[in-house]
Amino acid sequence: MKHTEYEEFIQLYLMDELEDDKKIILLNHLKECKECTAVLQENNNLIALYNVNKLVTPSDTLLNTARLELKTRIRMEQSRKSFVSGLAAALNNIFIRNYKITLGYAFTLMAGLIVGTYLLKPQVIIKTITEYAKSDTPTVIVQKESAQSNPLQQNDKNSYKLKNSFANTESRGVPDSIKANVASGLKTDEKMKNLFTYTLLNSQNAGQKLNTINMISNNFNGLDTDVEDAIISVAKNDENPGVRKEALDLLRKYKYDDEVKKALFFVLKNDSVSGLRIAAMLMLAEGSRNGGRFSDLELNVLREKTTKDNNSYVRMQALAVLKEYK
Amino acid sequence: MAQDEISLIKIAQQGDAKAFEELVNRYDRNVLTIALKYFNNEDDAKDVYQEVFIRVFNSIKGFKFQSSFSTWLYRITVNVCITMATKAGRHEFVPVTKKFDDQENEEEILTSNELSPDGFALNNEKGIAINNALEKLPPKQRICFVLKYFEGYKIIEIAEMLKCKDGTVKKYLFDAQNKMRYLLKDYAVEAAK
Repeated sequence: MKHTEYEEFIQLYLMDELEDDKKIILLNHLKECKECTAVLQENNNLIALYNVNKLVTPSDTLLNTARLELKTRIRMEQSRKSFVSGLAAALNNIFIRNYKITLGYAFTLMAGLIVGTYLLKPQVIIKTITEYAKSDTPTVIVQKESAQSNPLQQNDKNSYKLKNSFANTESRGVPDSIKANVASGLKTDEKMKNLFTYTLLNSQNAGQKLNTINMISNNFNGLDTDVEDAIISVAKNDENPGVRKEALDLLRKYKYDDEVKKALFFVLKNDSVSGLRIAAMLMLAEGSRNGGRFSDLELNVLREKTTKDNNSYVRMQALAVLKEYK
Repeated sequence: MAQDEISLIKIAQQGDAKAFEELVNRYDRNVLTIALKYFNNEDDAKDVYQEVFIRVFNSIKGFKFQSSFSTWLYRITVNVCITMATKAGRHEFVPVTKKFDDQENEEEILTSNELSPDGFALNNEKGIAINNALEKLPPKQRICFVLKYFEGYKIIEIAEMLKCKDGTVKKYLFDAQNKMRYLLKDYAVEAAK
């Protein structure tokens, strides 16, 4: 054992806290070790010295003063406690009770809103595309009417059901029903037109819209004005620039009439993508060369474009069109 | 715990001021003694006293008789002493004994009627030396030292008050005693002569 361990034993021995077996070990060691005996003596002297402070006791005056001060503080504490508990009780009454009432009202209101939303919603009978494909009834027309009221925002239950029916096909592809009908040669079938229109106006999936545009383009035979309107609408308003570009390209296949021209001017004036403005400008130039006429308003737009368009090619083309225009 | 004490505590738990006062009167001298020996300063001792009994007053309802009332009370006392000493350590702490170093005050203090009517050993050179040395101990070592050497508590009782193991208390005491041995070397040798 080291001396430090004996020193610890010595302290415990002097405190009368050393176990008997260790006490024997220590006492045997002390007989042989003068160093540890000196430590024992020194510690013993110190403990005797501490007895001086053992006598320290508080005076009665100090104790009485402390008691008086304590009484005062306890009285203050009691009044503080009663104030705090009173306040807590008041808050409890105000908040806890009214909180329950408020919660009840809120719950009732929420329930009313939910029930009202479902009960008062326009009832549109929807059939899935698969059902529709098998059916002769043109129910999509009803859907279209509903959808066209807000063609670019289809978050209602109808479009959800439609999308679910699409979910059976590739997520970016054209619905199987359309593919099947196109393959079977129903290109001009009224139902097909409605399907194209509906997909262009209502689908949230850009891939589906692109494929539909491609399919219309590949099987183009001068589909009716409903489809043309849908394509124009997509070219003007679709969120996806790629879809707008495809729709714009598809418009080339249509006759350059007033509707197409208006759509091109709309794109030229409003589209933020310069590539689309260039495409519209080129189509307008081509239309002009083929004898197309511009109104004064349209000429003003072109004049404006010669100076104010951000894109130099658009400015140049607008200038060229105006120069060529007679 | 004596039966009368248990019933007294239960009455105090119901908010009875007299029962609480009775409990205070039973133990407050001991609390004040520990505080006085720990801080060697009457004002600090009174602050500890107030703080301890206010804590007891606020938490007596939560006392569940899992230990004796005295152990619980002394545990609070120990905690308050350590907390106050830790805080005092952050700024200059001037104990009563330091006043004796000031020659101008010495005579006044030594002749004051308020001094040492009951053996308060501040006018004793050895007592001053002990207190000066004690102030140099860290708070936990100091409280262990005070409880063991001045108040005569067993290590196991101190461990219960500090809520720590016996070994920890032994370590505190061992370190404290070694520091005191070093600081009071001259007095220990003198005492040996």
